[in-house]
Amino acid sequence: MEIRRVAVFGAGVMGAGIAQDAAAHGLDVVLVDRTEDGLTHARRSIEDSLNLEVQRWGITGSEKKILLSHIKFTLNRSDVGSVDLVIEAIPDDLAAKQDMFAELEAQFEQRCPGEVTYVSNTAILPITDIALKMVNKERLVGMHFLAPVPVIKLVEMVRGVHTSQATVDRAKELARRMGKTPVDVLENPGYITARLVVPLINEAIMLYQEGTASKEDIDVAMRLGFGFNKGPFALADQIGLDIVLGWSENLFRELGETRYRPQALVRNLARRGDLGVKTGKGFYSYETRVDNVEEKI
Amino acid sequence: MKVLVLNCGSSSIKYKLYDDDQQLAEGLLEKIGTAQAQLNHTIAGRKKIVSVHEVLEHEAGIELILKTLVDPEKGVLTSIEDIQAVGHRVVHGAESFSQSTLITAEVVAKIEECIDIAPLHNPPNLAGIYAITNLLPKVPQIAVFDTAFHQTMPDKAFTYAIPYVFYARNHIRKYGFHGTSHGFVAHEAAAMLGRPIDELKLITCHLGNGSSITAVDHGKSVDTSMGFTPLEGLPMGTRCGDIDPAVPLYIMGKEELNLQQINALLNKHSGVLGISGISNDFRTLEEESSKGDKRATLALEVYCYKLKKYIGSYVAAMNGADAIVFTGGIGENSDVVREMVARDMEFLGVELDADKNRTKKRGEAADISKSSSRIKVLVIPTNEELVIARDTRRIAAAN
Repeated sequence: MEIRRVAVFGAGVMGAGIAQDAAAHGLDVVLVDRTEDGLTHARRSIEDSLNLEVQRWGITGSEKKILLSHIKFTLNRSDVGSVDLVIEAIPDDLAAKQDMFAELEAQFEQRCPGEVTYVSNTAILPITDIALKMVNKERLVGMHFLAPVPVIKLVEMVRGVHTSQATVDRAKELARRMGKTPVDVLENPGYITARLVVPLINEAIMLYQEGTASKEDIDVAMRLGFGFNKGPFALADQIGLDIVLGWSENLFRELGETRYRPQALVRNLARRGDLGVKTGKGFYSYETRVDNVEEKI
Repeated sequence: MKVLVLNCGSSSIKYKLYDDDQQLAEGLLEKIGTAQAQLNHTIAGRKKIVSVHEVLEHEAGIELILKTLVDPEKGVLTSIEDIQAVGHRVVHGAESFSQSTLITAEVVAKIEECIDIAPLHNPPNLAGIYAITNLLPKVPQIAVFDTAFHQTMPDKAFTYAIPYVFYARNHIRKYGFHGTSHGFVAHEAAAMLGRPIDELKLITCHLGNGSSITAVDHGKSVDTSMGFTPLEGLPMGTRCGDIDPAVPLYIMGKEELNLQQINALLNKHSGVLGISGISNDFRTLEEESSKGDKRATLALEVYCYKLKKYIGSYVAAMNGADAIVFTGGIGENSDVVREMVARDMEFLGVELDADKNRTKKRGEAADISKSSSRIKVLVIPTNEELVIARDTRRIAAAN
């Protein structure tokens, strides 16, 4: 059966990004959050992102309206109705995720038993642990989307011990429907992306703090020298410094190797609320250009 | 013979039901893929009926249309078996099809091959064909291609001056579109002029939200303004038409745009909308221009100037012309555009009769040139569906 309707729980940066991108690919989306603030913020961030895309000539004003009409924002889980996939996108807190899936399963197995695929958008946690309180553990799979979701064409497909092939296939169908290329990973900490990028960012910070080179020059060297799209500092800003911090803490705890140890500089920036692109300031400062589409002159 | 004509777009289906040349019903189903798909259905001579349905894909849409056609109240047929053939508009037939064709498994495979060069248009056209194959398996289906009429273009007209390997390997060349319309009005023009089409040199201007112009020499398309895609040629409602190919490359570098963004910029944000900043609707532009809006005026001038230059180049290419034909929503209804294009061309032998142009009645064909005009200026309403119905009837009867 074709995937038509998905529910996204958690309207943070990832949840809003997934909802926007799914709607952009013609899916109907219900975006659920616990707070009015969370929903308002998500709606605004989706609108901002679409406005920027209109200003960048990527879509038209009417296409923006159509896309928004495919997303239903709600505080009430029981508004969700029947869906093909449920995507959890709350912060990477194991206990919270375990509880959430137990509750979601109770809700959806009553309404449409056996039909729903459960997806966790975790960047780092083992799927088997997240499924701990579920009855149908085989129907949980991890899909690690990367921010900004509409731009990044990758999704890591994370298999737990119990995850069935049918579940993986269904989630891959969603990935392809959203124009993403899925890669298969086991649930080892950090999968591919976080595992490789954290030591890179850490090492770049050390180079910078040792005075070997400036942030800008380190980024230029990696871009031009090795064909990176972004250097490590710009990359960290794009990922979000709170996220980078969370990844390093988790990897350091799980793997015990010093190369993953959270850097004081990242911790300090995160504490100040300078989280990168999403707050307008991180290692670098960001301004949004909004001068392209003119009003009637 | 009762023939159903289908024009399936990505989220819409247009249909007309004919009994020979007589139209029995027509309609438009929009917003396919949603629970609020809207069906506008009209039986000839009666009021439009609007209804809303959940229609998630084309097959369900066509099923709804068929049901409506046999509905005791809204319908015009007693049984679905009364439909004796179905004609489909298919946008891209590439070099495989130079005329309308009975749809077989091989034909479907060839249309599928063309998806590569018509990724937006051919898939919904195919969805309509698959749906009818499932719903009316015994009924013959005929494909009528937008590109077919232009397959007579000589290679000097369709070859782009880029490494030849791209033609040989990737089939990159000028194909042209709106062929059904250009062919139809060329034949109508010959009838109006009372001369056989194979002695005429005609220039047909199909001007709508998408616009193209064709040189029709002795009944055959010898050149046309749209190209590998419908983006080439005249500026349009939202498409840029001919520009220096270096411009998109420069903008991409300057603004750091990706392929999807530059594609949307050229297709959806350009044309008269892009110039005016107001609208892609010519009625709005004419109104704003008459109130003194300079950019609306500029948009109209750019559009008409480009059209005038194309006419000149096609007169040169054919070594003369007997008539210029205006058709399509703008060509049929905008006396302003027709006048801006056809005036000041006496040197070429075009003498517009300004009164006839202004007083031409909506929906009627007319000669709007002076009797002394060496090149006639005609306005002829197009009817692509009728052509599809006729081709469908002819081919279905022969098979």
